[in-house]
Amino acid sequence: MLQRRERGAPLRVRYASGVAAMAALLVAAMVLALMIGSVHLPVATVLEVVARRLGVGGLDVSVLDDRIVWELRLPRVLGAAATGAGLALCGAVLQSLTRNDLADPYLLGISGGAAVGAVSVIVLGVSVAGLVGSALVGAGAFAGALLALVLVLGLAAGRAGDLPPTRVVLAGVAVGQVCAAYTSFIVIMSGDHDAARRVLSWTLGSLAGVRWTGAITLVVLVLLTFVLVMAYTSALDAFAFGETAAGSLGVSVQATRWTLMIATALVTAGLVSFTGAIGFVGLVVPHLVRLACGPLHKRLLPLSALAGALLLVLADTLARSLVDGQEVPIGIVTAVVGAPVFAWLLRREGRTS
Amino acid sequence: MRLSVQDVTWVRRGTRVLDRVTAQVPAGSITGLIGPNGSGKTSLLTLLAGLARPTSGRVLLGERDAASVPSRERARLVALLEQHATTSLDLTARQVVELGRIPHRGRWAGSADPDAGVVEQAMVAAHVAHLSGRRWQTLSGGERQRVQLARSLAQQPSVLMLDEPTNHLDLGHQIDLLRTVRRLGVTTVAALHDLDLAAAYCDQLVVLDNGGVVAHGPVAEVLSSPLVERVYGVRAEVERHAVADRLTVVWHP
Repeated sequence: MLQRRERGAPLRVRYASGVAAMAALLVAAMVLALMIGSVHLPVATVLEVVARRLGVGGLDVSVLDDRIVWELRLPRVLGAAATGAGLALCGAVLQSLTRNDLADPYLLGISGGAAVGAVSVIVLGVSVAGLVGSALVGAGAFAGALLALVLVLGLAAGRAGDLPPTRVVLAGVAVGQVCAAYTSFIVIMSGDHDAARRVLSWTLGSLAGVRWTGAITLVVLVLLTFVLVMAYTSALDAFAFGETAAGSLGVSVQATRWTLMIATALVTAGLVSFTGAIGFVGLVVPHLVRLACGPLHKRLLPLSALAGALLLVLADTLARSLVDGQEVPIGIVTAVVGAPVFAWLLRREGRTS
Repeated sequence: MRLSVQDVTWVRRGTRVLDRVTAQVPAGSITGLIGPNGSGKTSLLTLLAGLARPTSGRVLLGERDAASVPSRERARLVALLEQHATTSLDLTARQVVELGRIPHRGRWAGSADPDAGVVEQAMVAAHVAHLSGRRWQTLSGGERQRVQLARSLAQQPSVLMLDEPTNHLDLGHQIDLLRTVRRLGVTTVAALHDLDLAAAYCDQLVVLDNGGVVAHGPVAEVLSSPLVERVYGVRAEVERHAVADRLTVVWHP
């Protein structure tokens, strides 16, 4: 699948087998993720729990195993898969839309704004522990992300209703800097070490808080995103040679830009409010997939979603099993695991071009 | 399909790039847009392609206002070959040509197969069939230009807009490209710098200077020594070449 493509029939077969292989890997990774953790469970137990819950057998299941697999691990694994897929989709779309290789889902000030919201909730007096507390942090993050989005779009939009990508990127940087300054200021001035730790770990992301409600929300959100962006595959392809070319191919340039920028920003804000700002996935996965299957979106988007899901399921499994009794922030894992792979593929590409 | 520009003025970011331009393009003809750099050729092509609305005046595609034709339908009528086409994406030449099928494809279309024949033909017509599997980034300037022409043809347009299509091309390919366009018989508007090429392949000329029309009509009536001197500030003789039987421009430094 990673070989350089030839024209014609073999390509489509290879793409289809690529999708099949990725899907199979994803399922395997999810099963693995259900087995691994503070308690290691054999694959048979995991499959039996899932089978029983789905009403297709598996009568011999202990209450404890059921709780570990079905209540604790499965929602988290599904949440990881959905989040990874969503971030990768948003990254791929934004890179094409702005024709900027460095664009990622946090382009429109999402992570900065979300951090401001989350930090405000964490530090400024909300001391509710547990799920209610993290739900409040999530709500704060979502509100902050929306505020940043409005600021960035307000700064970037032209009087004629246009949305030039360069100005979007610059406005995103500006708003991001202000948000970062505010976040650091609040953390340092609060003098609360525990809060500082919570803030830092939030900015590196974690799926520890994802339960069934969260998982289902994330999965539905990402499925809707997938349907939406798949409706724009041709339009995104048309941007290959810039906006004039896209316009002359019949794409409504401004309408497409506004729709997709706002949609991806809202989706990212939604993801961030459950998981914190998980970096790297949305930036790098689309590049990896482009190296493998080329830049046309009909293939790029589905494969990016699968690859993002796979990466995040594996990263989350590592995050909760790497250090005994403690979780490594998943953002660290995605960077440490993903960066070398990316570097290797870049070198590989460099040798063949 | 005939085009007409009626008293069009376009003020773009405070600059009057076109000033009360009126011109007619008969169906099936090749119209050359000539004039010095910054005279408004690209702006006029942009309006003719329906990619922007003029500040005042009307641009008609057939009988319809160009800017009011729905964008997808417009892209099936008018194809634009831009002056500089750049991408950082790793596309093959054939994939670039296939972009021309986008206006003909439904939003949820499955494969591009029904279009394969059209893409094939466009590549043959633009003499790039042999480049099919080559990567865009490895093509020469001239090859890229011809691949973009093939992309335009894959749109199966009724009108072709060419913005300095012979840039980057050697003499042989310049002639070849314009001959290809001539053979298509599609209504064409081409911004050209080379007056000899314009004289050889265009039916009529629209001469622009500083956003306004200086002259407009059949090549033989428009192209003259005083015109070249007035528009380009170059002393030149325009005469009919005895052997080639077309106007040629001989300039004096």
